[in-house]
Amino acid sequence: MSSRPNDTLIHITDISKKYRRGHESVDALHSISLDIYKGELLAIVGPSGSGKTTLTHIVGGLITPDMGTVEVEGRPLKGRRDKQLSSFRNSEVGFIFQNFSLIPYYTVLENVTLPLVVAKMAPRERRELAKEYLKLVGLEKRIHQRANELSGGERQRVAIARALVNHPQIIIADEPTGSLDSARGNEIMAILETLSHTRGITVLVVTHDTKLAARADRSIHIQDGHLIKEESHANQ
Amino acid sequence: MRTSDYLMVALKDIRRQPLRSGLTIFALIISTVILVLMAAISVGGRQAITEQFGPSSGLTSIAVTPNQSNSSLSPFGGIQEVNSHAAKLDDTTVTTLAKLPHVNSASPQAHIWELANFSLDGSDKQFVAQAEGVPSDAKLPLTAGVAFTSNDQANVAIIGLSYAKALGFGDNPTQLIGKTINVTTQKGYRGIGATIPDALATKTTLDAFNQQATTLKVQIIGVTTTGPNQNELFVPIGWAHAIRTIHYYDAGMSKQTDQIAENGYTTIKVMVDGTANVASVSSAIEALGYGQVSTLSQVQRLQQLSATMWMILGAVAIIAVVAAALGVVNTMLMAVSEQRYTIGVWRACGARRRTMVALFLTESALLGFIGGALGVAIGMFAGRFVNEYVGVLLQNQGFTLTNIAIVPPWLVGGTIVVTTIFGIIAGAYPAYRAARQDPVQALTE
Repeated sequence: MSSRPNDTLIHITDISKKYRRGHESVDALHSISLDIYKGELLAIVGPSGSGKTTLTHIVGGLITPDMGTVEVEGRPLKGRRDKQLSSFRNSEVGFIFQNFSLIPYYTVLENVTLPLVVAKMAPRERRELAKEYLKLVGLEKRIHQRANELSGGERQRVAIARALVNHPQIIIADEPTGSLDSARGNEIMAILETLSHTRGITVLVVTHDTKLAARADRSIHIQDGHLIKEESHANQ
Repeated sequence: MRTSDYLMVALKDIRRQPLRSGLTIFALIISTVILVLMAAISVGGRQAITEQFGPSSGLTSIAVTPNQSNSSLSPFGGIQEVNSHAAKLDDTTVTTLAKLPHVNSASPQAHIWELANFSLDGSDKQFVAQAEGVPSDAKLPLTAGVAFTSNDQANVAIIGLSYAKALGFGDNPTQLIGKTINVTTQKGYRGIGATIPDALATKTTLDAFNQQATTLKVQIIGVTTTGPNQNELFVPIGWAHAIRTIHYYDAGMSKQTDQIAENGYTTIKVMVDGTANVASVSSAIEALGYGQVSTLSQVQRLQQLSATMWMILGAVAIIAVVAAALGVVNTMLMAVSEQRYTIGVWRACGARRRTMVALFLTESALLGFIGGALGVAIGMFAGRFVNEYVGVLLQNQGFTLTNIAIVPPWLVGGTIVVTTIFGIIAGAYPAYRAARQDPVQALTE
């Protein structure tokens, strides 16, 4: 899908973020401005510690920037209280992490229904919805298995089902293939591509794998907290 | 989140660490059992006081005695100083006391030392006879039967409810009315009904007589209620005079001595028109040179003792619950520390800080609730054990307590509420820590 400037979903203006490491202050992000479009598959590329994960956490409302603003559909995240930010994460963002972020002693179904539990959906309704998404990722027959009984690829597919179950506008996938072999990694990437291109979900994929990044509509390169390069792959 | 979801998640987490949760709940159970037993014994004690002194109208009675110093009449016993100048309690005293301000009535009571024990006709069970002679207008509170119709009625008795219970008629004392008891006198009894050797009797005959008891056939016409009269056997005062009148021969002449007339009544029961006037009437009685013990003062002393016991027992129980609550704090802190990652996942899925607080508070409240509920159940069982076994032991020693440990519904509900609240308090700090946790840091660790 090609990105169009008038379809901006996320508008990032001049954001900076510093971390304290002992007595030192470390620049995680430095004056980054960026527009992310609806239905776009955006790869965020950079070496470890470059600030790419920090950027996604800011976009996902998990942390707030020290300076600058992030607007989603024209509404700033800044100034939102815990209630509004939590609601934003619950209804508009789906997270997929490198380490899967599943609760190991919960079943597959319980892990996927987690955002729906937070959203106070009725038990029967949320079970049906979760099963639907587990079917989408090919795990409908393993719903009662505990998360810690699954393989890495299966866990990541559960994480994808959980990220999708609340119909978010944005999927943030932080190194989603990092713990998987290349075949499983390709499977996961294919699912993310499908989500972006057929469902119109904006997908932000953090990776340091340039091959995977090349499959995105666009990629941005971050180094030492600076946005150093932006590439469009739409016509490739 | 829905309330049912909070409960499900909390239960799941409790089950995740069965040993740790089990030990925490076990500590709560032990402390709750202590709490319930302490409270149950205290409640039982208070009820025993109420039972001992009967309905609130009994609180207006004062027992007047000849001696000034009368601590032996207190329920705890004690020494009694003999007052050699003590005035005898006779009918003049009764009249004087009845005329005191705020006194409704004055009724004499004479202990009948001559009656030793009794048994129900046809039964082998013997009881020590705490026999008292009372006038027909004594207004003994009855649970079955009727009062004496005259002072001179003979061979009739009103028995205390404790005897009825001991005879197996506690649930239906009416069935005792009309039955006969065989009252055995002291050896050498010389009152009414005794066959006394004549003036010419030999020493052998007299010696044999002195080793011989007399049996008086007495019909039960009434049974008292619970209260201060429940352990006694009452007979009409006229017949009491006849029993206590010694018949003998002196220089071949038949003679008799009424010991009640000679020594006076044992006590005079004075009824005051209200509890507010008990103290002033007591003072007035003492001013006349008599000893007195009011039921009100005894109840107040017992209640003071009961309150002190309740405070001590309560403090012990609360310390036990606090110790168990510290166990809950430890368990919850461990849970928060172990579940940093899980908390991060919940937060990433949109859970608010408040949701995390509620989740951990639900878990600690559940620990408190489960421990409390199981503790109450075991405490009730332990209370029943105390009543069945310890109660029997005490009854064998002459105590007439029906239940030592009583677990009223408020204690059941209150204890569970208290342990649940303690659970919530114990979980407050761990829950606060869970809420303050940085989700990003937790997820990336």
